[in-house]
Amino acid sequence: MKNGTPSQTEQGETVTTTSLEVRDLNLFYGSSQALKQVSLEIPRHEVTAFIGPSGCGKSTLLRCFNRMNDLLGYVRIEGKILLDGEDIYAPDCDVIELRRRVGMVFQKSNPFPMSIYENVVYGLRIGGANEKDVLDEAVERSLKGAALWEEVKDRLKDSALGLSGGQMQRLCIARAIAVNPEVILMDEPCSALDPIATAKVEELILELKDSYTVVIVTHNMQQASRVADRTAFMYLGELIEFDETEIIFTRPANRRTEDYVTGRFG
Amino acid sequence: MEQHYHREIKEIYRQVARLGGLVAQGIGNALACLREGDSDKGNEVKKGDQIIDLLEVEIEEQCLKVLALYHPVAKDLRAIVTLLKVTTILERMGDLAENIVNKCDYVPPSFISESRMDIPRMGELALAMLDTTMKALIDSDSEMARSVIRLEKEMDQLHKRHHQIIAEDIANPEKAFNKAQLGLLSVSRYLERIGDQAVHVAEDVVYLVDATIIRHNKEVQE
Repeated sequence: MKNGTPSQTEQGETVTTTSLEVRDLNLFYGSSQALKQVSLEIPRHEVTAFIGPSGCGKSTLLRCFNRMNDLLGYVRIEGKILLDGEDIYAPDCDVIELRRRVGMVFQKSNPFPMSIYENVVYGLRIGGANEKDVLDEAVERSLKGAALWEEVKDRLKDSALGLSGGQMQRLCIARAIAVNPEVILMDEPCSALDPIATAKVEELILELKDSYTVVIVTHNMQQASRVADRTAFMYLGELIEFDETEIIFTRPANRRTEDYVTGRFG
Repeated sequence: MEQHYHREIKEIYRQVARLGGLVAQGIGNALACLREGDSDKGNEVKKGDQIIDLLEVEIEEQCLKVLALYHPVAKDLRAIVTLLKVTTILERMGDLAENIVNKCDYVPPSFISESRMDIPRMGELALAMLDTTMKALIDSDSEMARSVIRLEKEMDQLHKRHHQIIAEDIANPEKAFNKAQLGLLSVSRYLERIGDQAVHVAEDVVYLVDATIIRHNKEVQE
């Protein structure tokens, strides 16, 4: 089935297979253009990876999906990004709600200086939830979803800053999924982790796609090939090739993609 | 920018080219042994096969090292997979050359020219197919590889014809059927197998260059 085409669920509900759609996106940092006419469709409940050399625009594109670039005053954007068909750059878009629907995990884990429990429920409390039962349920569900529950269930009141690097990153993933997002953006989520912690996060990414759409930026091409269903190669702000990961890593259509994945670049 | 492992892949190409040369030499010597009854040539084939066996293992180890250490992708991955497969195929071709030598004891040289079987043509074809397929591999030329696949038909027809000749001779009570005829039919089969193996290499070259697996698909082979 082609992405973006509506389909019927068993219950007769109509859904589209595209979660995020980018149309003719241009982004400027001041006078410098960082994204050039980027168009792509990110399928729902799949892992999509962005790869490319430093400065190619992959993190910039990722940060467009929950309007993180708005926080920088000198950014100008043209084109459209649709989340479930709705323009997230429309004037009436509620950015706070957008960021609930599109969660983000950063390169360096950034737990708040509070307990593991409070880290997970932070977004829920901001949203007004205070009932203990609701919060307890969310903590257990989110930590289980982030494959961290068994390791921390007996010390939920301990400071999150006492966790290992890999556990902190999974806590950040738990915090992101506590507010029931639709999409999880990950910007180099394993670059600061050792191979064992990386393997755990990669396993988690594969589990997360059953419930969420995952978009990941990575410099590690093996990571993209291991976890992503589709891979986009970007270069100098342009989307050069976007296809199934297996094709990108066995028979890419574009010479520049082939040169990049085989290390012949530059 | 060339990386360290690209030099290792080039070195594997060089070794596979050397292996191809040794196999071609073995087949040439085996045919000379058959044609001239020269047992020295036969001994050279047997000695050469030992070198071929050692080189096959060496190349395989080099390929496994590149796979394990550098995780090649795209055309580098296709190159390593192709070189690994081609090496195994070439080693089998070397064994077939040795098989031909083993039949020389039963087939006197005069019998080749007397026989209705066109073994010289099959020998020519086998060597041409191997030579062209190795050139296609080294030059990454899928069109040249496809030209080898087209030669298989003539080889198959010759071998089929040789079967018919044997069947006719067996059925003819006036003809004395002997071991030399059966020996020559075996040689015909070995040469036909060498042609098949050259085609397998050619199919792998098409995969290397065009990233398409054409094996078992007659339509896309043409």
